[in-house]
Amino acid sequence: MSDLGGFSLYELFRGEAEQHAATLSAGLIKLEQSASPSDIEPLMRAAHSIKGAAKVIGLERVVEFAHGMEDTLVAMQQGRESPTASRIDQLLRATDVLASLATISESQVPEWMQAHASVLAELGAALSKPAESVELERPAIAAPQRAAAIAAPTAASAPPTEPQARGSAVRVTAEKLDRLLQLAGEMMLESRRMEVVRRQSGALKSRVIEMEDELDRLRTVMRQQGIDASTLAPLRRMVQRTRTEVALQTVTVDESIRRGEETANSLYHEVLSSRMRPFADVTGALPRTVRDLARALGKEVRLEIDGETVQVDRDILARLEAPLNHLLRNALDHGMEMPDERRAAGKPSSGVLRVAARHEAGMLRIRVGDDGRGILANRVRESVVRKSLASAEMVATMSTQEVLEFLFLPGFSTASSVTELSGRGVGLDVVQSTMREVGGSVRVESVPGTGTVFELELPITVSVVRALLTEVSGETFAFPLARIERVVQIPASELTTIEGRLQFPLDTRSVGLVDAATLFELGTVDLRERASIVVLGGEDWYGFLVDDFVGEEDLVVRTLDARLGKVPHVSAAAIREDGEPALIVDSEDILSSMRQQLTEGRSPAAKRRAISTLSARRKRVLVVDDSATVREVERQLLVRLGYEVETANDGVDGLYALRGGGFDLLVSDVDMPRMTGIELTRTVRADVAIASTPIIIVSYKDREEDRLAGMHAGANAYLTKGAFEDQSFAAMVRDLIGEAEA
Amino acid sequence: MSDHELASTKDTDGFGRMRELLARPIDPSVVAANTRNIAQPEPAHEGTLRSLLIFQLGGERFALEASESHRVVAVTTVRRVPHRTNAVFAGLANVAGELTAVGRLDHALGLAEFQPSGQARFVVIGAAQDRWAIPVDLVEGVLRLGEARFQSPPATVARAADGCAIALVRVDANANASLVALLDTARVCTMLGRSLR
Repeated sequence: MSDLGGFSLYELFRGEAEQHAATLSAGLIKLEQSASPSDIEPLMRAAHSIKGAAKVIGLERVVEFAHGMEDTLVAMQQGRESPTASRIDQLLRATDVLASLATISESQVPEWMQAHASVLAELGAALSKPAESVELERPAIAAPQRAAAIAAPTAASAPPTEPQARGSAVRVTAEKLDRLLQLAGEMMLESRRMEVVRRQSGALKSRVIEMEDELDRLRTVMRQQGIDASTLAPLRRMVQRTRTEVALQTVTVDESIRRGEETANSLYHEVLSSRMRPFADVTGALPRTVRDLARALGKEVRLEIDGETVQVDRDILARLEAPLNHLLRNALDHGMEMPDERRAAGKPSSGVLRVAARHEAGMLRIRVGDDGRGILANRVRESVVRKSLASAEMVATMSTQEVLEFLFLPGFSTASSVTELSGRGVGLDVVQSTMREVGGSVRVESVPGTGTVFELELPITVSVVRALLTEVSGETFAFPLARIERVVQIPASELTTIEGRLQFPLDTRSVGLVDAATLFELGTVDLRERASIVVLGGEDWYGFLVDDFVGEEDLVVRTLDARLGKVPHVSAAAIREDGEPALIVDSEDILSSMRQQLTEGRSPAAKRRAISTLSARRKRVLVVDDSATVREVERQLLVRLGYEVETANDGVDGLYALRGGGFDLLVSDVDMPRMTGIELTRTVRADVAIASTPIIIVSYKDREEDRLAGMHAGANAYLTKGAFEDQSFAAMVRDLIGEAEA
Repeated sequence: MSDHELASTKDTDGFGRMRELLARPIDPSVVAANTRNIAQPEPAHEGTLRSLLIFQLGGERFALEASESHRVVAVTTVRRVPHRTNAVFAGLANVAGELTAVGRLDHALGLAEFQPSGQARFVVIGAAQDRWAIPVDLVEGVLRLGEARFQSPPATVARAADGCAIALVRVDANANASLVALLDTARVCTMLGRSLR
C-alpha cells in the first residue's frame, strides 16, 4: 500500500473508520428511540464511506460487509424495513466490528481478518437477509415524513456532531501542552516585570522636566542680576530636545509594554483554554452503555444528556468517566424498576436516566438522576446498625440525608444480591474518593418511589485554583478557597486549652485548633498578638493555626515532583504571580489528620511517649492505605476495638513508621503509589528488625491470584474490603494479635 | 630598512602601523627558539577536549561535564516541603518556570555549608524525570580541557565526594596546582535521590 502525505493509506482508513463508526454508534441509538428518515441519512453515508475507504485499500470482505449495512439502512430509510431493536443490535454489532478494525495496525490486518471471518460472514448474512416483517415492535416510519426526507436529503439534515463540522485537529502530547502553559505563565510574569521599565522611563521623563525648570529658574536669576543669559540658550535647546525625545520614547515603551502584557495574557489564557474540552467527550459512550445494559436487564430506559457543550478541563473529564459510568450502572441496576413494576406504580413503563452538566458559581455541577424506585432510608438505617457502624439509637436520630451519607463508605451496600452489573456496592466510595481527589464532592438525594439524584460538584479546571495564601514557618501554603469554611483572626488570648487541646470560640461553637507548622513538621507557629486561623471542615469545623494571611490569588496548579510520592497534607504546587513557589494544601488530608489528632486529644509525639511509659500498653496497629476514606474507616474500626492506630499514606511511609518501632500489626492496601502493599510486605519480611510483625492485606482485588500474590509475599491474611461489613476483619485482627489490652 | 626608516614611513592608508609590525626585524634568539620549537617532536598531546563546568562549593572546587549541566541560574527561593524536606532535599524552587527539586550537595558530600550570596547559583543537572537544582557558592565558568589533564580518582575512598568523582582534573596549567574532582552527574543524582526515599 502506498504512502500519502506521510500517512500510510491504512492509517487514513483507520481514521475514517473510527469517525464513521462513532457516527454510526451514536446515530443508531438515536434511531431506535425516534426513527426519522433524516436521522438515517448520515448513517447511510457513514456506512457508504467506510465501504469506499475499504475498497481503496483492498479489504474486499469489509467492502461487502459495509455494503450490507448500507443496504439495511437504505431499506429503513425507504420504509421497507423498520428499525427494530434486534435490527439495531445487528447494526451496532457490525459497527463494533468496524470500530475494532480501526484500532489495529496494518500488519495485524491479516490476523484480524482471520479472527473475524466468522463474525463477518454471520453478521453479513444476517444483514443481507430482509428483516422478518413479523417483528414490528415499533411502527414503521410514517409515509409523509419519508417522502419529505427522500425529496430533500440535504446536508442541513446532518447532525452537528458530523466530523466535517469540527475544526481540523492535531495531536499534541499532554506534557507538551503543560510545558507550553508553564512557558506562557513565565511570559506573563516576565511582562509584569516590565512594569519596572515603565516606571523608570516615567522617572526619567520627570527628571528632564525638572532640569528644564531648573534651567528656567537659573535664567531668571541671571537676568535679575543683569547677567547675559543668552549663553544658556544652546543648553536650553538641548534639554528641550531631550524632553521631547524622552516623552516620545516613554509613549513607545508604554505602548509596547502594554501590548506585550496583553499578548502574554491572551497567550496564557489561550493555552489554558486548550485544556478545556466539551462535556460531550465523556458522555459519548454513555448512550450505548445504557442501551446495552437496559436490554440485558430487560428494562426500558431513555437516557437524556444535557449540557454537552459545557467546557471542562481535560484532566477533570478523564477523572469523571469512571464515576459517571458507575452511577449510571447503579441507577439502571438498582434504581430503575422493571417495566411492569413501573406500570403497577402508575409510571410510564419506560424510565428516564438524566445526566446534566452545568457551570455554577465557578464549579462544575453534574446531576445523575433516575425516576426509579428511590432509596429507602430505613433499609439503609437497618444496614448501618447491622454492620455496627452506628448504634440503633444514634441512627434513629439521623436525618435521611445523614443516613444516605453511609452509602459512600467503602464496602457499604444495601443491595440484597450481588449482581454482575454493579458489583457489591464497592464503588460509591470510589466515586466519592475520586471527587475528593479533584477537590470536589458528591451528594445524594432520594425520594422513595420517585427517584434518586446524585450530584457531583467539582472544579471546572484543575489547572487554576483560587486560593488563600498563608505563611507557615516562613513557607507559603495555599488553601483552595472552595474548601475553606471561614477565615478568622482573633486575639491570641481567646485561645484556650481544654485537656491539652487548643480551642477557640467561633459563633456558638468551640472549635478545635491544630498548629499548621507542627502538622507539617516545620517547627511551630509563633503565636502573635492575633491568631490567624483557617477554618476547614463541613459538618464539624477544625481550626488551622497559621503565622499569617498573605492574600488571595489564582494559582496555576502543577503536579508535585513524582519522586516525592504522595506528600501528606499537600496536593500540588504552584508558581505565584511574583514567581515564588507555593504549595497547595490537601484540605481533605489535613482534615483527616486534624480529626485524628483532636479526637485522640494528643499529638502523635505525645502519644508515643505515653505508650513507652505505660506498663500495660494497648496494642498498636499501623494502617497503610492511599485512600483517606479507607484509612479513616479502618482507623475508626480499630479504635472502636480498643487498639492504638497510626496511619500512613503509602508503602514507603508505612515502612518508615514500622521501622520506627512499636507496632503489633500492619494492615495494608495493595495498590498504592511509590510502594505497593505487596512490596511493603516483602520488604518487611526481609528486614530482621520488623520481620515478625503480623500483616493483614486488605484489598479490592478479590481474585484468587491476587490473594495468592499477597500470601506469597508473606502476608498472614488477605481480606477484601468487604470484610469491614461483617466481623471478619475484626476477628482476624484478634486472631493475630489478641485483644487490644496487652 | 632601518628602524628609523620604518618609523618614518608615511602612514597614508591607515595600515602603516600594521605594516610596521609585520616588517619589524626579528631577533635572532626568537628565530632560534622558534626553530627549536618547530623541529621538536609534537609535545604530549592534550587529547580530545572536554568542556567542564567549574564551580566552588563549601570551600572546594568541583567540575561537572558542561554538556550535562542544563542551566546555571541565580539562586531563588526554596520552599520546604512538609514531611519530605531533609538535610539533602531542601525543597522546591522556581527554576526558569519549572518547579525543581533542590539538592544540597554540600550536605550530601559533607562539605562546609553553602553560603547564599550574590554569586551563588543553581546548577541544574539530571534527566527530565530526575532533575536537580544544586546550590553552589560560585560558578567559575566553562573550561575546555584535554584528556591529558584527567586522572583516575585515588583507589582509597576517603570521603563521600569520592563516591561521585569519576576523575581528578588538573584545571590550572600549573602542574603543581591542586586537582579538582569531576563529579559524575548520574551518581550525583542517585545520591541526591536517596534523600527522597
